[in-house]
Formats: sequence, structure tokens, C-alpha cells
Amino acid sequence: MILRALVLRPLVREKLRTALTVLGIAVGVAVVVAIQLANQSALRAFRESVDAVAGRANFQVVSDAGVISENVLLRLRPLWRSGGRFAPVIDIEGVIEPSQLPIRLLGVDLFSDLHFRDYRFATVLTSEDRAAPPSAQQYLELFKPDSVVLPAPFARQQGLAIGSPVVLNVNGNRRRLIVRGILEAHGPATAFNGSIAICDLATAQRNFGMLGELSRIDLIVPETAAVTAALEKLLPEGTRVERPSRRNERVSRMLRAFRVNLFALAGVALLVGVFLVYNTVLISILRRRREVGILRTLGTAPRQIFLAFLAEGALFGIAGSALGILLGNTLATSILGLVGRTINALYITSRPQAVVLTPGVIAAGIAVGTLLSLLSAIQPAIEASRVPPGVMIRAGLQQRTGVRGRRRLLGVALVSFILAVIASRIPPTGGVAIGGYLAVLLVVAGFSALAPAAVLRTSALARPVMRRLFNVVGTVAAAAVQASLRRTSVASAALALAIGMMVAVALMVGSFRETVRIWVDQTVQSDLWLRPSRGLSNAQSALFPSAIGEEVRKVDFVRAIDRIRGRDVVYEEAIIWVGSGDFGVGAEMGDLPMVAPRSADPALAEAVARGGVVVSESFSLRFDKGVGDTVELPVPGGRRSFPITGVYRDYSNDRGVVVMDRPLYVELFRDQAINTIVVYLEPGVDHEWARRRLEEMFGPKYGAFAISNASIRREVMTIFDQTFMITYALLGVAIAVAVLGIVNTLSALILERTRELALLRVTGMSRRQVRTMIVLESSLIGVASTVTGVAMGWVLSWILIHVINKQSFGWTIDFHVPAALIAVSLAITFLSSLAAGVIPARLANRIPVAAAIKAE
Amino acid sequence: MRVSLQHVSHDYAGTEDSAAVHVLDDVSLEITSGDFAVLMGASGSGKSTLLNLIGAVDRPTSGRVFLDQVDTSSLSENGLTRLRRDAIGFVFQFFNLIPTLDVYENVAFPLSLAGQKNVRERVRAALAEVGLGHRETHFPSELSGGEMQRVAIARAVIHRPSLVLADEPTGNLDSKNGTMILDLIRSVRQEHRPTVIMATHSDRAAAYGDYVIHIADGRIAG
Repeated sequence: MILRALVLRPLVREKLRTALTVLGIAVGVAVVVAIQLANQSALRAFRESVDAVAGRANFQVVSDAGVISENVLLRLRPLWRSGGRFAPVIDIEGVIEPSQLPIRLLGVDLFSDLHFRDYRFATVLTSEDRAAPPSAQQYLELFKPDSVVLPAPFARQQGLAIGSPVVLNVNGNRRRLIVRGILEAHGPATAFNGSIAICDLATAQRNFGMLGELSRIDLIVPETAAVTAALEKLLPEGTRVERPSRRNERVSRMLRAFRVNLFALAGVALLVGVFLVYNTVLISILRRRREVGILRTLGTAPRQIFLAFLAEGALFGIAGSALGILLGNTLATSILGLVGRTINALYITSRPQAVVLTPGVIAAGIAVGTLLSLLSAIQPAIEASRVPPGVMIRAGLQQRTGVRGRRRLLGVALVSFILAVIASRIPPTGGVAIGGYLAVLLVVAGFSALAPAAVLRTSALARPVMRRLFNVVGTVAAAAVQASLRRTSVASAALALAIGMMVAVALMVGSFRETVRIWVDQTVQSDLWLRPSRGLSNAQSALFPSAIGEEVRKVDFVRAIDRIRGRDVVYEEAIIWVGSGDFGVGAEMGDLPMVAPRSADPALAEAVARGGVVVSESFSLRFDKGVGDTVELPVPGGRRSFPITGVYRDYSNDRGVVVMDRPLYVELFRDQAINTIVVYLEPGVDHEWARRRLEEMFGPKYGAFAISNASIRREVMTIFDQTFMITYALLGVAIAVAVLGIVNTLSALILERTRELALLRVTGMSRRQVRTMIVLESSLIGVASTVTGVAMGWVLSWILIHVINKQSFGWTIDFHVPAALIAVSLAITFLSSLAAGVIPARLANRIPVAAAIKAE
Repeated sequence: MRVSLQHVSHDYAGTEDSAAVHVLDDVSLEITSGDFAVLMGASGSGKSTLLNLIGAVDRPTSGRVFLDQVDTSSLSENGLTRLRRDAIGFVFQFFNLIPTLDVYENVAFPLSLAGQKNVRERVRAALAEVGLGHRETHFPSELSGGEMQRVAIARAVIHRPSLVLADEPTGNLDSKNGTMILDLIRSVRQEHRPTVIMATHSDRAAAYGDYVIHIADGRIAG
């Protein structure tokens, strides 16, 4: 009955308010759920692919350098006796020509591989007649040096059938192969979304420059310590045994920083939602003080009142979470593309498909939404339980926040700020900037505690101005804001939080964007790029053979070229990028932005002279290595140490990059392929003419695309903006929720002041004046929140840039103020707070004056 | 229930913008069990405060309030709550029905708080007694002032309190409804014999009581 009196009936009666609050929570939960789902789906796509390709293998022999020698197979022979089985595997990325679609090439020993992977041939050779199973003779055709097997759905998509030619570009080798088998969509044929080509090991080695080399060896061995120990002993230096799932773990770890940052942003939306619940419960308590007083007089215990309002919070939480999970599921489908694109651009090739709502995600969504709502209802509920019985007899005494209360809040703010400074100095844990996030929370708490002071100060300052402009209406408006400080400051804190987050994110993204733009301008100084594929995102899988380098160099209008090549390498259990370039050309023509030493030339020269490397800033921060240190990298056949001669800035990759001179790379990794050729033209040569000429010369033979400096820069900025699209979307959500909060609060304030407003009307204030007064009040709150919010945003952006980004990604970002973006966002929030006043102002006009006064 | 006040004084504490207010000043009085006492005095004389102290809604700044043998100033907040819930019924000038509950629920509320049985029959009987059996499912906002006060009386006595406090129960009603309410209070008293204390400044209302206690400026005037 208490619940019904205080919570259930009012919730049903005030449908709009209830709906807004539930929506606020739902939006926060939805964002969290959506990001979780989209990430899960992207990661699952990758994991399933790895599992499908690994088949029944329980161990794999791998090398951190990515390549192992075929001879390792011979060393494993002794294991035959204990029942071990081995399958040599080539597993590399390539593209299919001319569509440039990424494809995975799996080269296996077709005879023995059936132990490992489950192949189901739909058709082999020309046997289109399903009834007749292919003969052994027909299977032998698969071993021809140009045979390839494709999964049925993929073949159908590409319009390929048995006997069709297909051009694969792998490791810089373009080869025309013939489809001689079609697989049912089952087992390995489902990996990488079915974009997989399977051929005999020998075919893969011969055609794609991997003679004598393997990607890994899959093993099925007994699960005993003796066997694994024996294995370790048999393996040469530079190779090791691990579970196939280790690869998933590494990738999952690599994506963690990305995930955590998305969650932090989702947390913003949730935080605003929580503020909304706090706000709603607090307001419902302020509005139902009288009822609480009656209930208390009739003998209701404080604990019962407390539980009733806690239940209100829980109800909002449960309803919001349920709705949020549904919304999140829908949202996930639409952001899946975005997240997938970001992951592809920055990390791994993964093509996520459907979003699957797992019980874990549902539970997490409900827990997050409900727990946070409950938590945010605790303080107001305590407040409600303290309402003395008989309060309805003495109205109007209880609404002011005393000077002492405000002083205490100032103390809270001060302590929060001091703790925030301390938290921002905590080093990251496992690549996650926990201290940074803690500092963000503390700063938010601190500024929220300042809200009453800000509101008070603003109205005090505005009072004379408003009196001059709006006469008595202005005076009354300013006084009303001060008089109901408790409620106005909650509204103001919620809006300030939203504005603060908005300003912070705008500052961070703006600074980041500007930093990247300057960096791209400085880095991309060459005139043209030659690449074997059009887009940036699959640049890793498409390669040129080394021969193209010499041919381009000989072109008369080309002054110099820089050949770029690199690969993923496992370093200290993390996947990093080892790259190479022509350091001589880079030093002479380019201008690599450096962290240390100041200029690139000596660093590159020293690297060439000493066989050293330069590393990216993210590598340097993550692994705590700087100029003068050495880094030990896996190379085919062993490990090798390199002195670090320079640290450069790099925003293209947060995993860490180690770059060496090309001759050294080619020698160590026995890899002559080229990802990109950076072309410097002779002076006076027209860029557009040169671009077309180069494409004419190398397009047909190598499938080369020539890209101008300007379009590279544009492409980088497009990827950047795509990556931050989620951020902008979240920001919009946060602001929408905050505006909802303002409307909510102001409407409640009006309803509660019915009598006061009626009195003003009776004493001669016109409807227009009442409306003006309310809009003035909401603009006062708007101004106070904007001031607080901008200050909060500035501090938060500092933490985001210098603590969280630096710790999570290892990026130094220079501070730039995107003035236009911030001005526009502030205008939006301020106008929305004005608009938020219009609805309650209408409400006020509907008050029946006589009845309102008579009521009490 | 016997009500006994010994040297009771009460102040409302000052705030940053107002000085402390002395509402009651050394009040002692004795009301025998089953009496119908009337408190009379001008507005602001301290009648309501006195009722609040007797009704265990508030505690005196000094002095002691006894309900039967119980010293309410020695009770904990929980003890006071239980006392109000079980032993006291309130009727207010502004009715103070719970706007979100309907008539039936408002009357049933004290019973449900105490976790009692036979709620349905008792509520129906009480509503019939005040002549509002047909209004069960209406909300307070749909009732007239007189009807609201009748519901309030049903609520005040549904749990058979031994003390009924009425604070200007007719103050907000016309004379016809006022009479009906006073008659109801009298019949309640005759039927269940609770102690009734009613604050009023109407002589007509005061005539319903056994005797009148006059209050002026926070003191017993005679």
C-alpha cells in the first residue's frame, strides 16, 4: 500500500516523467549493450575463423616472426611413436583480383589434412552430378600446381564454378589458378566469412613465394606433460608450441584498449542516465513530501518510506534496462559496421556478421542499469525517510540549502579535485588507464558538488541585469532560482555534466584530429603513392613483388622511391608491427615527425649504420623503451637485438611499430614484397599527369594504383572521422538525455510551485509575464550549467588527452580548441535549456488560479 | 487513554533567516481516559503544536508527555511511529487524504500498516458508518470537502485507536458539513469510547466536548 501510494500510482499518473526517466536509463544501457554486442560479434567472427581453421589441432608450432622453416617438420618425426600427428599449414592473407576483396589462403597437405580439418566436397572437377561421388582419379586433379578449392557460397557470390580461373594476389605474387573443387559451407570453409581459398601446400609454396616455408604446423598430440616437454626440446630457436586459442587471446588483448575506451564513452551516457534517475527520484520525493508526512503521521516507519523510494529507483532501473537491452540489440546491428570498420582499419581483418544477444550480455545490461539506478536512488530515499511526521502542517520550511550545507559541498568538491590529481598519476594496469577513468569520475563529482554555488552565484550576478531588462519579472525569476536551490542545482548538475562531457569529447576529438592532420601533412610529403589496392584498410593483404621497385625507380620523371613493407610480429605476448622502408630516401626527402631525437636524419642515419631501428611513440610508451635501449625481435630462425636510434610519432597504429632499413628487413625476414611504394617526383613534373602515367605503366602488370598526396591525406582523415563517429553519436545521446532531465526537472518545479504561481497571477502578473519568468529561470540554470560544464569539460579533456589516451594508446596529442564545434554544441545545449523552459511555462499557464489558491 | 502533560515547552528552532519561535510555554494538563476535550484558542496560540506533541508527531523541547503510562519523550523514533500507528487516530483541517490512493485504500491504510486481518469487512463497515459505501473506488480529488473529511474520520478510527486527535476538523467546511462531521465524531466516541481531543476556534464545535481548555500565547488560559 505504501508502495502504491508513493510510487506506483504516481508513476502511472505522471506518464511523461516516467517515460522520460525510463528512456534515459534505457539509452545508457542500450549504448553499453550495443557496444558489448558489436565488439563480441567482431571478436567472435575472428575467433570462429581461427577455430575453424585450426580444426582438431590441440597445439600449434608457431614462430613469433610469422614464418617457420619446413625443416622443423623433420625434427618432429620422433613424436610419431607417441601417436602425434602433424599438419604443415600455410595461412596467409591476400586479395582476389580484380575485385580486391581480401581472401585467406590456406595451403595444406591435402592427403594428410583430413585428420585435422573437416572438408566436405560439394563438387570436385566437373562432376556436377551429385549422385556420383568423385573418383580417386578426380581427387588427384586437386594436386595440380594451379588447383584451388573454394567454399560454395563464396564461389556462388563471385560467379565462379568448377573450371573457372581466379586470380589471387598473395605476398605480392599474382597468380591465375583454376577452381577444381567446391566445398560445402562447413569446417574451415566457413572461416573468414567463407572468404577462404584452399590449395595444396606445394601449390601455395610454389606460387606465392614460400618455398621451404610454412606459416605454422598444426599438431594433434596426446595431452601429457611428457609430450609437450619433448616437443619443446625438438623445436629450434625462434619457434614454440602453443594452443590455437592463444592467438585469440592475443587479438582479444590487442582490442582491449579499444573496447575499454568505447565502454568509457558508453559510461558517459549511463552516467547521465543515472543522474536522471537521481533527479527523478529526488523530485518525486520533494513533490511527495506532504504525502510522506501524512504516511509518517499515520504510523509508517522511516524504513518503509526508504524502501518505497528505493523501489522506485529499482523500477526505473528494471524497466530502463529491459528497454535498453532491446534498443541496444537494434543499435548493435547498426553500429556493427562502424565498430567492424574501426577494428579492420586499426587492428585485424575480421568480418563480423550477425549480432547475438547472449544471456551474459542481458545479465550485464540489467545489472548495470538496475544497480546504478538503485545506487542513485539511495541518497534521495534516505532523504525521504528523514521527512518528519506532520511536515504537511509546516510547509515551506524545509527547502533551503543552508550555508553550512553549501560549505560542506565546497569541501567535497575540493577533496574530489585533490583525489583526481592523485588518481591521474596512477600508472595504467594492463594497458587500461584505470587512474584516468577514476580521475574523470572524481572531477565529475567535484563539479557536481559545485553546482549549487554556481547556480547561486549566477543568479546573484544576473539579478540586477535581469531587473533592468525584465523589471519585477526578472527579480522574481532570479529569486525563485535561488529559493529552490536544491532542485535547480540537481538539474544544473545534470546539464553541466552533459555539457562537460560534450566539451571534453569535442576538445579531445578536435585536438586529436588537428594533431593527426598536422602529422599527416608532415608525414605524407611524397608526391604519389603506388599501392596494389585501392583502399587503406586491406593494404596489408595486397602486396607488390620486389621487381616493381626497380622498374619504378627507372622511370625518368621519378626522383626517388621509398619501399614500405611490414608484418605482424609477436613481441612480449603482444602483436606489434615490424615495418621497413628505405631510410636513406626517408632521411633525404621525408620529414618524419620525431619525439626523440629532435630531427629524423641522424636517427635514420645511425639506424642504417648500426643495424638499428626507430620505434613509434606507442611502442616506446607501452614497452618502456627509448633511444639507447635495445629491442629483441623474433626473426625467422631465431631472435635478434636491435639498438633503438629514434622514437617517432605515429597515429596510424596504437599497437607499437618498429621500423628498420629495407635491406636489413629483407635479409632478416627473407621477404622482398612491398606494401606501398612512396614516390618522389622530379621537380616540375605535374602530379596528376605523373599519377596517370604511373597507373598506365604499372596498372596492367602489377595491378598498381597511383594515389596522390592529397587523396591519401583525405583518406586518413576519413578513417579518422569514421573511427570517432561512435564518439559523436554517444555525445548526442548524452546531450539528449540531459535535456530530457532539464524538461523533467523544470516541469516538476512548476507543478510544485502551482500555488506560488497562482499567487503571482492573482497579485496581477499576466500569463505572459509568468511565462517569461519561467523561461528566464531556465536560462539562468542554462547559463550556470554552461559555465560549470565548460570548466568541467576543459579539465576532463586534459585527463582524456594527457592521461587516458596516452596510457591506452600511447599517443601524444597537442591541445587544439575546435572553437566552431564547441560554439555550436554550446549553442545547442543553451537553446535546449531555453526550450526546456517553454514546456513547463505552458504548463504553468494551465494552472486554474482560483482552485490553486483555495486548495490550501 | 489518559493524556498527561507536565511542564511542556516547545520551540521551533531558528534558521539562518529567522529567530527561534516559542510556541508552548510550560503547559501542564491532564485529560482522563474517555474524555472529549476541546482545545480553544486564536490562530497561532499553539493548539496544533500541542496536538502534535500529544499525538507523538513531535517531541517537546522540554517537559514530558505521558500517554497512559508511556513517556513519549523517552520513546525512540520507531517507538513513536508504532504508537501513532496502533493507538492514535488523526483528523486534520485539510483532510490530508493520500491523493494517490482511492477512498477504500485510504481507509484501509492504517490496517495494512499494522498488518491486520479482515481488512475488507472492516473498511466496508467503516465507510458505511460515515455514509460513503458507494464512494469506495473514488479518488480524493473526486470528493467534496465534507466527503473527504468523512473518509478521514473513517481512516482515523478504523484501527480502533484509544486516542483520536482532531485539528480544526470543521475549519474548512460549511456549517452543514461541519455539523455532520461533529456528529460523526460524537458517535464514534460514544461507540468506542476513545479519548478525543479536538482543537477548534468555533464555539459551536466546542459545545460537543465535555470541557474546553483555553490556550493563549502558548499557555493554558483556563
